[in-house]
Amino acid sequence: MSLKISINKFKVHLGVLSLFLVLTLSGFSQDGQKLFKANCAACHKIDKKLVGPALSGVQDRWESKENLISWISNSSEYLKNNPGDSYAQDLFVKFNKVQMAAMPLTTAEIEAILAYVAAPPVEKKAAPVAEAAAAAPEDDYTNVWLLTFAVVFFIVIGVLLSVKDSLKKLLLDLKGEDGLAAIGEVNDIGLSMFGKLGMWFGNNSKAVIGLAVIGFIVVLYMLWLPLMSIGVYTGYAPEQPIKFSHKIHAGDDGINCVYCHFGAEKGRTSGIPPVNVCMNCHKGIESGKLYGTEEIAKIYEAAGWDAENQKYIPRNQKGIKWTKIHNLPDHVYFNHSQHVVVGKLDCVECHGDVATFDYPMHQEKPLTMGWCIECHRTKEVKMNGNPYYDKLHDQLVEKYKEEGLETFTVNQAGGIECAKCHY
Amino acid sequence: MSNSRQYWQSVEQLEDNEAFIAKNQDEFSEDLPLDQFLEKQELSTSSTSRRDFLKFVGFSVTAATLAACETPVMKSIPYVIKPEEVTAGIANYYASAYYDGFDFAPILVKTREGRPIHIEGNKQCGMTQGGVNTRVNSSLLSLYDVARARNPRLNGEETKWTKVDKAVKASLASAKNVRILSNSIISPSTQLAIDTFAANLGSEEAPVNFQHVTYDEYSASGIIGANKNYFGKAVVPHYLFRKANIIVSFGADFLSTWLNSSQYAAGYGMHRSPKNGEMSRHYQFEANFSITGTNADIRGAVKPNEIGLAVIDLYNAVAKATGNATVKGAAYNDDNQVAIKIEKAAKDLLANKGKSLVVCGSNDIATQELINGINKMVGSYDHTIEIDKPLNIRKANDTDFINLVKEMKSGAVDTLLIYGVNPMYSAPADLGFADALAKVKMSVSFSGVADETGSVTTVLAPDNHYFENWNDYSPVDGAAFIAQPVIRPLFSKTKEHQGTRQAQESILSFVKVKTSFYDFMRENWNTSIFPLQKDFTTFDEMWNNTVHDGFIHFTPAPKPMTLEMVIAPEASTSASAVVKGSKATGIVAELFTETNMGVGNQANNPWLQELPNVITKVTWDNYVAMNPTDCAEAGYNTRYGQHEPASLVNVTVGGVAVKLPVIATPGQKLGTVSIALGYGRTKAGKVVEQGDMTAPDGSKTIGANVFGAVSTKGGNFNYYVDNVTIELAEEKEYPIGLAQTHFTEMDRKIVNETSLATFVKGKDVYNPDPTVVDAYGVSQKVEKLDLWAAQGIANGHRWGMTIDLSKCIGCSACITSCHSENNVPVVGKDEVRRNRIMAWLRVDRYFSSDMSKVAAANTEGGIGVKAMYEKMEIPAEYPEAVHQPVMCQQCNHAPCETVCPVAATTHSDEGLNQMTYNRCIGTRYCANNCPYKVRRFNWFNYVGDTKFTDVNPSQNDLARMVLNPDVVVRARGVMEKCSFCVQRIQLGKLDAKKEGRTVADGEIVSACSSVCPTHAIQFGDLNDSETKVKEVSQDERSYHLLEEVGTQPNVFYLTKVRNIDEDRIPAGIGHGGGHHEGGHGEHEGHEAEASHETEAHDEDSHTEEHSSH
Repeated sequence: MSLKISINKFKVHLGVLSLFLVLTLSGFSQDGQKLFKANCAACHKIDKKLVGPALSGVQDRWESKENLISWISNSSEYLKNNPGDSYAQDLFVKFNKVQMAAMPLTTAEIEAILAYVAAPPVEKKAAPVAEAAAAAPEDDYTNVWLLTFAVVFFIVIGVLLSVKDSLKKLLLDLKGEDGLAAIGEVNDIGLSMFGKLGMWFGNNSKAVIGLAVIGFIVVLYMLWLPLMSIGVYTGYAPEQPIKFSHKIHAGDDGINCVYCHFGAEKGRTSGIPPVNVCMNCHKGIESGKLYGTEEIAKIYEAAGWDAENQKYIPRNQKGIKWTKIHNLPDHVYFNHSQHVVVGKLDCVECHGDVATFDYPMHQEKPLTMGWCIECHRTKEVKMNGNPYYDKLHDQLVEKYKEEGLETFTVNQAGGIECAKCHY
Repeated sequence: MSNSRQYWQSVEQLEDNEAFIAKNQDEFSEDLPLDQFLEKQELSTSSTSRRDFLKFVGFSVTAATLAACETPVMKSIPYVIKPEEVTAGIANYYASAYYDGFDFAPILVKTREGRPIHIEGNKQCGMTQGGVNTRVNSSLLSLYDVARARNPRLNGEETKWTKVDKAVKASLASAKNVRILSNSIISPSTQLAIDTFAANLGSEEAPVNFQHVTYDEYSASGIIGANKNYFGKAVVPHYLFRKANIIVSFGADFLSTWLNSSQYAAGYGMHRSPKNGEMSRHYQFEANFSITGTNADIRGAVKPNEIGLAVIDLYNAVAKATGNATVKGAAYNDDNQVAIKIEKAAKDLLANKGKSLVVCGSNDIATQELINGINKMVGSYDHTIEIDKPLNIRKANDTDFINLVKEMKSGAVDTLLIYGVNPMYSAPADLGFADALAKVKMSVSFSGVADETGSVTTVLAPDNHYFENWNDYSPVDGAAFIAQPVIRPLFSKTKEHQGTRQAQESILSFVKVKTSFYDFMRENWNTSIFPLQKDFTTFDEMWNNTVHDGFIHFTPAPKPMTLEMVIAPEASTSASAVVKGSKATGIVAELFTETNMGVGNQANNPWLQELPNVITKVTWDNYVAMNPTDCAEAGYNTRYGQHEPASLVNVTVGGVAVKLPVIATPGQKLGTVSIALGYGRTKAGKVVEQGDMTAPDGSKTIGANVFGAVSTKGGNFNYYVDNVTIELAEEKEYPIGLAQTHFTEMDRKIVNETSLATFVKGKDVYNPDPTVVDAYGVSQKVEKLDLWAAQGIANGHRWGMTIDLSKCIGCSACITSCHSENNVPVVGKDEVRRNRIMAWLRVDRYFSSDMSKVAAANTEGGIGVKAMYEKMEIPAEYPEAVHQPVMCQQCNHAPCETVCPVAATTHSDEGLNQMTYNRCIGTRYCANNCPYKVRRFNWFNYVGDTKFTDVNPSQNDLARMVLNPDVVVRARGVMEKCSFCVQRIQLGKLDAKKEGRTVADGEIVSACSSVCPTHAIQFGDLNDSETKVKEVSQDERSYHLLEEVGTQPNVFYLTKVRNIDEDRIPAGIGHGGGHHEGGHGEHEGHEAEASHETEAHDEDSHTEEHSSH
C-alpha cells in the first residue's frame, strides 16, 4: 500500500520537476508567451484567424522585421507613413479596416513576442495524467490505525482481566474466603458481569460521580458543537454549472481578481462576472488545460457565441446559473468597496488564497459575525492620506491621548456599532 | 396674561380628555391577538390537550432546528452582456417627469439593477425645487400593479394587437365623425401625434370630421373662461407664490391639489418662516378645512355657494380704497367674523401692491372675473401673475365635453379615442356618459388598466406605465421636460401576453404611421424646439443634455396675435351673476379633491389609501366631513376611532345616493358638508376591492364616488351641490380606520406655536428654555439634571434633523417617501383599526383654539364675557390646525435603549439610535418607554401572511420589485422605527471615503427631507459647523419635543409662527413641565413658567395619575 503511495508521489515530483525544467530552459520564450497572452491573445492566435490574422509565420510574410515591428507598435502610423506597402494596406482592407490598436511595447518586448510566435512551446498532452494524479486526494489511514489500536487495547484488557480472574480463583482455592478478604479482595467470582460492575461502582462512588459529571459535560459539549455550526458554511463548495478553476485563472494566468469581480471596487457586491467578461479572453481561448473544449463550450452556449462565424447570436443567449458560495443573511449589509477601496484589504484576507483553489471553489472563512467583529477589533483603519478621516483622526488622537494612540482600529472609529451593518 | 390655547387631536379629546387618555394611554391598546389566533386555528374548541401541545412544540422545535441545518442553495445568474451603466448594487438616477392630467412634477427616478425603486424631485429644476407631492412619489407603486392589463382587448375579449389595429382601422375607414377625448395634453409630441392622426384621416372624397376634446376631471374651466373674457386668453396663468407677501385664497387648495400645487408649495414655503421679523401673510376663505386652510394665518369659513359673495366683499373693500366703483353684493352666512377678516385682507393687499396675490378655487367664471378685477386693482399682474406664460396642465373648457357627450348620445360619433381620462367614473351623472358611450360605434380606451372606461369600450389598447415610455411635457410655455423610460415595459410581448403599447404609438399606428414614438419625438424636437434654444449648437448635444437634466428652457415661439380687442366684463355684471348663482337651499355639499387621492387615478395604490387624510387622519375611506356642532345636533357620533364606530349615513347629493360615514371635522363651515372625490373606484384593481363599501354595481370598493354629483349648470362643472339630504343609514355604524389617536403623548403639549407679534419680542417670551425643579425645589436647566453619562457624539459625524413647523404644510409627501425608501409595510384598514399602522413617520395634526371649555367657563383674567365667547368660538367649530411630523427623535439619552433586555437598540457614536432587527426578541418594552410613540411592532409577517395579500404592495412577485434592496424587510415579532435613513448615511459616507474627501452638506439627506416641497425638513451633520441643519438648529425658534424629559433628541423643531397681530404666548408646550420630576407640588417652584401655564396644570395632573400606573 505504502509502496503505491510513494510511486504516485514520485510521479508527481517527476512531473513537477520536468515542468520546471521545461520552463527554465525556455525562459526567453516564456517571456514572449507572457507578453503574447497579455497583449495579443485577445485578437490573435498563432495557428488560427481571430479578430486579427493567425500569427504563425508572420515574419516570413513581412518584407522586413523592422517594418513589422513598427506596424505592431503603431499600425495606423505605419499605414499613414507607408502608403506604398501594399501588403500592409491590403491587410488592413482584408480585416474590415479594423485598426489594430497601438501597442505600448518596447522593441525588445516585440521581439520576444515574435520569437515566441515563431517557436511556441509544444503543448504537452501528458499533463492531465500528472494533474489527475496530483488532484487525487491522499487516502486517510488515521481511522484504520485508531481502530486497530482500539481492538488491541480491548484484547489486552480482556486478557488481563481473565488473568486476574484466574489468579483470584487460584487464591480462593489456596487461602479461602478469609485469605481473600485479608488482602482486600472481594469474592465476586460467582457474580455476573453486571454484578461485578455494580459492586465496583459501590466501592468507588466518588470516582463514578466525577466520571458521570465529566461525561455529561462532554455530551453537552458534543451537542453544542454542531449547534454552533448551524448556518456556518466554512468550506461550502457546491457544484457549479461550469468547472471553473480559480487556480488556473487567478493563479497560473495571474489575472487580477477585480478584472472579473469588478464590482468589488465599485459597490456592494463583487459580483459574478457577466458572460461577456469571460468572452473577452475566451473568444480566443477555446480549449482549457483541464477539460479541453468541454467546459469552455458551455460559456459559448450561455453567451450565444457562434465560434464558427465569430459572432454572438442574441436569441441564443442564456446566461449561466451559478451557485452562490458566499451567502450573507438578509439582515447584514456588507459592502465590498468599503473594504477593498477604503480599507485597502486584499481579497485573500477574507476569501483565502483563491489563486490556489481549484474547482469547485469553496468558502474559506466562516463569515460569522464573530469573525467580522474580530477583524474590526484588530484591523487598523487606513486614515492616513484620506482627507475624509483627517478631522476624525485628530479627534480620536485627542480622545485616546492617555493611551497615546496614533492609529486606530475599526472599532475605535465606531466600526462595531450595530447600524454599521444592520439596517 | 391668560392667553391660553388648547391643543387637541380629536373632538373626543377636546370634550372628554380624561376618558380619551384612559382609552389611548397604552402603547398597545389591545391584548395579544390571541382571539384571532384561536379563531383561525379553531383551537378553543379542539381536543388538543396540553400534552399534545407540548409534543407539537417539541416536534416543531426539532424540525425547525433540523431544517435550519440545511445549506440554502442560492442561484445567481449574471448578465450575459452587462449594460455599461448598470453595476450590481449601485443605484442609477434618471431624470424624468410625471404627468397624469392632474399633477405635474419633474422627478428623479432611482433604479437598482434596472428596477425603479424610489421617486424624488428633480432638484435642478427651479419649478418645484425638488419637492414632489405624495401622489407623485407614490406613482412608483402603480408600475408594479398586478391590475395592469397585459393584453389589448376587443369587445371585452383579450386579443392580439394586429386584430385591434385592424378593427380600429376598419372603423376609421368608414367613420364620418372621429373624436379624441383626452386630458389636457401638455406633451408637444403627443399633440403632434394627435395632429398627425387627424391629418391622416379620411380622403378627399370622404372627408372626416375630427375634433380633439379636452376634458379635465377636476377642471379649472372657470379661470380659463374668466381670462378669456378678461384678456382674450383662454388660459390658466402662471401664479408666482414666491413673490407674494400677501396671499388671499378663496377655496383654492393651492398647497395640495389646486393646479400646479407642487410649484406653489415650493414658492409659498420660501416666505413662511419669519426673517427679520417679516413673513408672508395668508388668508384663506373656504368651506372645508383644506391643507391650505390649516396653513393660513387667518382663515374664514364660508359656504361654498357663497364664496363668490365673499369675493364681492373683498372686491368692494379694495375698490373703495382704490377709487374704483363698487358692486352690489349680497349678505352671506357669517358666523366667524369673515367680514372683518376680509376687511383686514383688503388693507393688507393694498399695503402690498404688486406683492400680493388673490386666487380662487371656484369654477364659476363670474367669480373668477371678480378675482381678476381684484388682482388688477392690487397690481398682481406681471408681478405675481403672468398671464402670458400660461400653465398648460388645465386647458379644458367644460362645455366642450358636455357638447361631446350630447353628440355621442345622438349617435353621430363613429370613432372615439379616450386617452388619459376615465369619464365612465368621473363624468357628472346628469350627462349620461354611459348611455352616450354605448352609442359610439367604435370606442377605444388607452387606459393601462381595464378601468371603468376601459372595461366598456370596444377596444382597450393598454398604454405603458409612464416609466416605460419616452414622453415630453411642456407644462408652461418656454420649458420642456423629457420623461425617459427607466425600465423596459414590464408587460412586453411574450408567448403568453401581447404586452402593452404606448398610446401615442397606438394612435399613430391606427393611421398607418409606423414609427417608434422615440424617433417621432426626436424629430419633433429637432424641428420645433431645437431652433428655439440658444444653448446648444447641435441637436444631439441638446437632446442628450435635456435627457440628462430632464428639462430645457427656450424662448417660446411667438403666438399669433389676436387682433380683436377684448373689453373686460363689467364687475357689476359679474357680481350680479355671482349673486344670482349663490342661492342655495338646505345643506350644501362641497366636492373636493384631497391630497391622497386627487381625482382617483391611483385608487389602487395602497400607499395612498393607507396614508392618513391630512385633516381627519382617516385611512382607507372617504366620508362626509361635517362640523362637530352639526354632528352633535344631528346626533352623529363624534367620538369614533378604533374603539367606537362612526355613524353611517345615506347621503343624497345632486341625485347621487351614496352611503358614507360621518366624520366630525372641525373647521368645516356650519350647515355644509364636504365629500372627497377620487374614491369609490370599482375597476381599479385588487386594493380597492378590500374596501368596506359597496358600489352601485355591487362590487366592493373603498369609499364612495361622488363625481356623479358634480353639476353642469352654466356649462361649467360645479363642485358644490345644495339640497343635500343626510339621514342615518340602517346599519347606523361604520368602523373607521383612524390614525391620529393611535399614539397619544399623554396630553403633554408638544407643539410650540406663537404669533409674529409675540415672536418679535424675543425667544424668552415665546420659546423659553425649559427648566425642571430638582429635589431641593430649585429650578434648573434640563441638561443640568441628568441620570446618564453623556454620549460620545462629539467626534466624527452627528446626524441631526430640523423641522420648521412654520414651513411644514402637512402635505404628507414625507410619509410615502419614507414608505418607499424603507420598505415600510402597508397593513390594511383592519390592522389600522387595531393601532398597528406601520408608518415610521407620522404627521400629527393638532387643532387649536383660543378657547378651551375650561377657559371659557373661567371669566377671570380678561377672557371676556363667557356667553359671547361660547357663541363666537366653540372650540371645535373653527379651530386652527398645526401639522407636526414626528419620527424617531434619535435621542441621545434614549429611554428605549435603557429598557431593551437584549441590547437590540443601542446608540451610535454618530448620534443614531440604532435598531438591530435580528437581535430584537419583541418584548416591546422600548415602544412602551418611548415618549414620542414612534416605534412600530411587526405583528405579522406582512410579506408572507395571506391576510395582507391584497393590501400589501410587497406581497406578490411583481410588487416585490419595489423593495429597496439596501433595507432589510423586517420579520414578524420585531420592532422597527425611523433609522434616519441610515442606509443613505452609510452610502454617502462611503462615497466620500472612496473619493477621499469630506461629506458635503446636502449630500446625505433622509428620504423625508429630500421630497419636502417647502424644505421644512433639513437633514445633515450637526458636528459640521458649515451645514444648513446646524444653522437652523441654532435658530431661536428651535426646541425639542418634551425637552424636559431629558431625552436630548437629535431632531429639532422650529416654533410655528402665525402671522397675526395678536399676542400669542405658547401655553405649556412641553416647556417648564416640572411635574415629571417634581411631582405634584411643583406649582410654587417655577413662577417664571406659571405665567403661561394656566389651566394646563390641572390637565397635566390628570395625566400624571394616568401615566403613573
